[in-house]
Amino acid sequence: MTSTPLARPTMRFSERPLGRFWREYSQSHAAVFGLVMTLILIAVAFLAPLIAPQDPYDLMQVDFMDSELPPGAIGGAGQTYVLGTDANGRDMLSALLFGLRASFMVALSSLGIALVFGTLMGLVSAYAGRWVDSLIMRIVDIQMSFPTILVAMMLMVTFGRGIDKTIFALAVVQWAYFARNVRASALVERSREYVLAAQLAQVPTFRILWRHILPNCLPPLMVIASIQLASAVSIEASLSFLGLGMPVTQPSLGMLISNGFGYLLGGKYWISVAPGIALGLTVFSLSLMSDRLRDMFNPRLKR
Amino acid sequence: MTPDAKIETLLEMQGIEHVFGRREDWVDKGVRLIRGKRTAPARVRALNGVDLTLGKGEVLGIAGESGCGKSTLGRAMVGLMHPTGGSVTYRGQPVMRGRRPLHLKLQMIFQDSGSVLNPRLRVKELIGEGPILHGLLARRDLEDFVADQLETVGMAPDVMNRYPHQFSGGQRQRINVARVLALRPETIVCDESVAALDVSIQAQILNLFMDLKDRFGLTYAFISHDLGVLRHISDRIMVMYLGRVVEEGPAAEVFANPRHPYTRALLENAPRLSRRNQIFQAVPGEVPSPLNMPSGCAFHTRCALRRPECSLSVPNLMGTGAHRHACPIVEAAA
Repeated sequence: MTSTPLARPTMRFSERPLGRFWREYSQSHAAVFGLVMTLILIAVAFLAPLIAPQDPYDLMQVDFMDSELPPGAIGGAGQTYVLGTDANGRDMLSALLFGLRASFMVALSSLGIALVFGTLMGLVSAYAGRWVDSLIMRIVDIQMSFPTILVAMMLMVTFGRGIDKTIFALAVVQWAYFARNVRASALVERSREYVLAAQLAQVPTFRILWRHILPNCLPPLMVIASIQLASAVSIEASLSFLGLGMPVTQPSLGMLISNGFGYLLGGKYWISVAPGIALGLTVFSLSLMSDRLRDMFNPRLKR
Repeated sequence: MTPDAKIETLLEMQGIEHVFGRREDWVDKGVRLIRGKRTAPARVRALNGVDLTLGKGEVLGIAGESGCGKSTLGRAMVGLMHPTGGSVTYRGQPVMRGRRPLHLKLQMIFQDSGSVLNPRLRVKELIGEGPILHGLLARRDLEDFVADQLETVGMAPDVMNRYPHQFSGGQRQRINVARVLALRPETIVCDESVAALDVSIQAQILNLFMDLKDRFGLTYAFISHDLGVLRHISDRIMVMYLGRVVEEGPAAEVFANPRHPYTRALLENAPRLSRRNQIFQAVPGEVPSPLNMPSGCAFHTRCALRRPECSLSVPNLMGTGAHRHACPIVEAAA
């Protein structure tokens, strides 16, 4: 780019959709920060077994004598506990990394299931119309008329704790958002000329949905997905905090916060605060991303 | 109306009617029961008994103001929608099977509105999709085929890897034409296909249409509000007003000697260089709402030749030979 403002082309001819996307996305520094933070958090979460100082699940590595040490303290074996230890002498940094991993795993897999199922339902609803549409959308309405956390709690109380059950509960409370949004954009796309042209070209219905309608519904879908990812992380944390989510053997961030809750007033703040900050940072970064995506796809904000 | 007996009839429409609006549902019925009042929304009568035949090799122009039902007619022609009344056949077969169009040989070119081409597909995918699906083309021959098609519509073959947003309106319309031609159609319905283009580009695209007609022996139904465009290309012309045909006949004759007062008003007001100082006399009044159609001849609210009897009954097409119109007043004076 030259220094004259007019020299900047409005449209580069060789550019791919992804390039255009990035150029527009990166116009907000906060959004880039959110993306980078999210990627770092996901990376450290999934690399936790490699980078964590100890395995918090392995009781052999946990020294009960080191319990409730403040951040920066030196343990009995000479190791430094950067974020201190909890009531059982577990290294908080390791617990936090593994907790982050559990949180992301549950949030991402429930999001994936909800996304695929909800998108499918939305597409079928929009394209089939008539009673199929009415049926699916009434289910969505009923689903969405209950508070999310309430439905999730009811499911967890019914089925009990566990990773698979948490993922299931989160998917159940989220699919309706995808279904409703995909249906709305698919209805718009369905009446576009290119879909009519595909019908005239005798393109089979499934292919029209998959190749023509779905790709054009993706931008709003991405916005919903990024919003829902943040909400999945926080719902899971709430459930685990209340003792309804993840099993004790695989503590997520919510349960770590809950574990330290009783020590908070006793001055041993770090047991709760460190996972609390990690959770806050995760939801904050995801929100920055989803805000940017939402703005990008809002035609009223286009310059 | 009937073209020469020698010419094979491709498309035939009989008594096409279309009414937009939802049916009374159980809520409406309940309300009517309690309050004794109809609550189902008013209906729009878009088409009121249109008959049409399209012979092989012919260019039929369909003219009319916006809202006269010409786009609805176009969609019904190719089988994109079921008209609420009447029959549409192509080579003697219905144009629809279920809710989908049936004939691959019958295609449509839409007005360029930026969404005629799927924005997520490259030019070669846009053009090649149909032919590959229908076995007209092997996947490995895609690039040669697309290059060929692009050349046919006067575009460089190296644009095949680009996306639709990288082209101007005229270029997009050429790509769209290439996409339709790749399906090897026989009949093409053009719905305002050049309306969104600049005049110079319009001329290019129209010439392209005519070249392709000669090369591939195509048949066109050309829907437009622009009489200048229709004069340029049509063999036969149909003038529509509020869902009815008011005049039809060989294009040269209709333009030289318009009979129906509506056609006359349209032609007198078409801008022309030879009459650049003319003060335009707009057709007085507004197009009546199709929600509330005037009784009798729909044009009587704006007609200069209006007589009391015009609001009584709907006039049928009359006149001798191919040139027919729906004005009994003109017919009586002739």
